[in-house]
Formats: sequence, structure tokens, C-alpha cells
Amino acid sequence: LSHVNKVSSVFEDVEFCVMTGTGRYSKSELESRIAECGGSVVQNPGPDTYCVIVGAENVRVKNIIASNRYDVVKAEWLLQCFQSKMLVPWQPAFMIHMSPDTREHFAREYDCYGDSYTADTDVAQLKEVFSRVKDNKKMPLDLIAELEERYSWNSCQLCIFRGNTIYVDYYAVVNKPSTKIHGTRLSIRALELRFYGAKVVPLLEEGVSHVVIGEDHSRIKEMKALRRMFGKKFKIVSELWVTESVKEGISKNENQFLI
Amino acid sequence: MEKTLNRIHPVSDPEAVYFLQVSWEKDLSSGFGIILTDGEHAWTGAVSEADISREAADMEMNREKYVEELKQALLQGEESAGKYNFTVSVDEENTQCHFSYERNLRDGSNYRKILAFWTIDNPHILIFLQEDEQCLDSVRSDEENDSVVFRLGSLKLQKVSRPADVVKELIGYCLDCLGGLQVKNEHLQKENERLFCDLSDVEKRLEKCVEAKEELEADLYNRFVLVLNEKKTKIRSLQRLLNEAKESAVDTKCTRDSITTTQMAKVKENDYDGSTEEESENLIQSSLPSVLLKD
Repeated sequence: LSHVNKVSSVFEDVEFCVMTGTGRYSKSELESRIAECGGSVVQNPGPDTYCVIVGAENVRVKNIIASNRYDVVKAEWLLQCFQSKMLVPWQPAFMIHMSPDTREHFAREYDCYGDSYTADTDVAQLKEVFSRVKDNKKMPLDLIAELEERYSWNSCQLCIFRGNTIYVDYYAVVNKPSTKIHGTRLSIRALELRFYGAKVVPLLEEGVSHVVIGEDHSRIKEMKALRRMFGKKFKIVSELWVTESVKEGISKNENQFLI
Repeated sequence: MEKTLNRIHPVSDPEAVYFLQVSWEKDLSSGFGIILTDGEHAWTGAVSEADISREAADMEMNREKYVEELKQALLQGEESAGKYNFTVSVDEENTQCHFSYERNLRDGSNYRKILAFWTIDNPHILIFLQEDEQCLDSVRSDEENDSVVFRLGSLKLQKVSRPADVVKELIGYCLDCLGGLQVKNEHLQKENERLFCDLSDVEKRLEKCVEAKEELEADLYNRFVLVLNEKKTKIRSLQRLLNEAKESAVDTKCTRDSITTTQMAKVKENDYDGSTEEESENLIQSSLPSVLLKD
């Protein structure tokens, strides 16, 4: 690497160990560009090595990570440094692995998902942070409803029916989901209800807030009989309640649509 | 050219069946042709546009309403059976046939009301009709059945020399209709099937979209909550640190108060506007409260 032309001294006296290259830049390309910026390159990390640069992960990289002695940084960080001609501060997004010291430093600045405690975030950064959340637990609808209430997001157009538990009358026999009548407008209504935040349930039981009825009124008597046994009474409304509410973007008063 | 073929039963002989074909261009109001047959004999006739206007004028009836009434009587067939009376009277040589059609206003008590209905454009007509015998001509009371009929029109039909041709033509027309209807029926059935398939396909796709939206939402909220809670944890820990610092500050103050008040004032002053020497002293004091307490 003696023949390099020095372009800058961004990395003056900084020692790197490049493990692998990226799809666009090979390991040796990265190494020569480090040299051009005044940095030095070693083939195995030692006590003076600033960090290990990794383009693609392999077994050697895994071993370095396992040793827990070095900061392992994505090659993109290096590229950003080349581009901006300065030492770009490390951000969680760049870090493949952190040594205990660095981890402690980051813990003061960032939460465990890499979101800064002090710096504002933006859409791209937040997406990045979210992509690091590995917990794939789905939040149940009632918790979402609570959350939206707390932050006053419940006026959002997509939450027209949030918090409602709805039974749609498209089963030929009440409370027998296997008798679903296919190809009716009601199944579209049910999807609309779900799209706009409702919880659509297959059983008419205690806790249901609304029953949506189509043209067929033959099961109303039975449902009203069921209702008499419930402590919390549900409302029986025509499917117009759904279409009108969606049309206006707010939950319309049910009283106009009662059956 | 449009046609309809209907079965009619004359009032004089309800058992008898006649076939009535009405044909017209574009609209019935511009005149129409009639073929009447009992299967054995056939008669034909035509009603011109002028005839229609004259009939309507004779009855002092709005022409459009009159045409509407004609359509009901001549084209609707079985649907309006009972509402209209047909009379067919054939002379002895079978050469001429007198055919008339009337609206049956069954209930005599509705007489006035129905007349008022006919003349809704001109309320005076009701009185006029009651006074003028000539006009009442077309409204005749059938004492026997206690009903009132309203003569819509009558015409003389001429005998057709070869009735078999007429019957053939009528049967041919019926078969054509039948064939056409079958084709249409098949087409509509296929169309219906296709629409149903499309509907269920779209429904499935919509369901996938809804599911994806629900999942995305639940997932985003979940991530949001996790990150938000991290922030809250941090705020809590900072609050705890702040409280600890406050407590220790109070403790420090108490200790120092007991030593000397003047010195305290000096320190306080230095908090805001301290000299460099004093500041470093302050820093030591605040960062090492436990040491001071031990003093």
C-alpha cells in the first residue's frame, strides 16, 4: 500500500481491520481508500485497532463478534466517512457489534433499539429503529384503541369503528360460523368494519356492542331474545350505518339506523 | 318493428281464447296494427296515429295518459287480466270482426273518484262528464255486474284470407322469442357466474388487504410502544437521579447551614456567577455529597 496518494487525513493514525467487502466495494478497495485517508490497515484486529469493518458477515466475523473485544462496524459507515470527508459519528444503525465500552457509551445516548434519547428522529430513522425491534408480538385491538384514545388519534379516518365489537348477521344460523352466507354485501361490510378499526366477532355474546343487519330480517327476533339475557345490551343496526359512517368519515349516531 | 303476442278472453265468452298480436314502430302512440285469431280464423286491423289522438280527444283525456292506458290494455297480457275487458263479435259470414277494449272500473262506488282520476289535468271535466250525455258515451254503466267500464277504443277488423299463414307466423314469432330468450338466459347466467366469481375474488383480495392493514397496524403500534417505553424508562431513571440529587442537595444545605450561613451565601452566589476557583470547589461539593456528609 505504499503507492497510495493521500487524499485526506481523516483517518490519520487510525488503525482498521477490514474483514470483508460489500457487493460494490471489495475488501482491498476499502483498504486502499482507508490508506488514502491516512488510516492504517491490519489483517487481524489487535489492541490498537479502532474497529473492525464488515461488508458481509461470515464465520470469521462471527468469531470476532463472539470475542466481544472489538467494535464491529458496517462498511456503509466507512463509505459515509469517505463521502463527507470527515469522521462520521457512530450510530446504532452502523453497529453490527459493540465492545462493552462502546455499548455503555451508546446506552447513555440511545435506547436498546437504537433510538436516540435526545436527538429528534425522522421517518427514515424511525423505520430503521422499528426494523431493529425483533419482538413480533401483535398488539390486540383493545390495546390499540386505548393507545389511540390516550394520544387523541381516535379522530383518525381509519378508526371510525375503533373500540366497537361487532357481530355481522351473515350466518344462516345465529352463532354458527360454519353457516356463513357467501357472496353477500354483508361480508364486504364486515371487511369495511375491520378496515376502519372494528373488532368483528363470529359469536353473538356478551360484550358485543353492535349487530349489523342486511336485508334479511329473519333472525332479528332470535337476536333480540338473546339480548334480553345480556347485561350489556348491543344495538341492532342496518348496514347503512356502516356505509354512511364510512362515507362521512365519522361514526354516525346509531339511533337513525336502529332496527 | 316491435310486437307482442297475448292471450285474451272476451267478456262475452270467458272460456274462449283469442290470440292478440299488436305490432308497432318505435312507440305505440304513432299507431299500431292488430292481428286477432282464434286459431281457425284471423282478422286484422290498424289504428293510426290520428285515430289515437281522436279517441283521446273524444274522451277529453290527456293523450299520453291514454297511450299509457292502451299499453296496459293491449301489451301487458295476463298481468292486467281483469282490469280490462275485451269484446269480440264476429258477423255470420266471418268477414268482419268488431273488437273493442275497455277499462273495467269494477266498483261503481268509485265512479266519481275514478272520473276525477281520469281528468286530473282538468278538474272541470268531472262536472262536464256528469252533465254531458255525449261524453258519458264512453263511460257506460253495467247494471248487471254493478261495475263501470271505460271504453278505450274499438275497431273493425277485416278477415284474413289465409289464417293458417297468420297462425304460422305467430308460432314462428313465438319460437324466435323462445330461442332468443334461451340464448339471453344462458348469457345472463354466465354473466352472473362471472360476476359472482369476480365478487368472491375481490372479496378475498379485500380480506387480504384488511388483514395486512390490521397486522401492519398492530405491529407498528407494538414497535411504537416498545420504543416509547424505552423513553419512559429513561425519563424515570432521570427522575430518580434528579430526586437523589435534590435529596443530597437538601442534605448538603442542612449540613452547611449548621456550619456557617455566610459561607453558604457565598456558595449560592457562586452557583450563578462564580469565579473559576470557586466553581471547581462547588463542583467537588456537589458531585461528592457523601464525602461532605461524612465530615
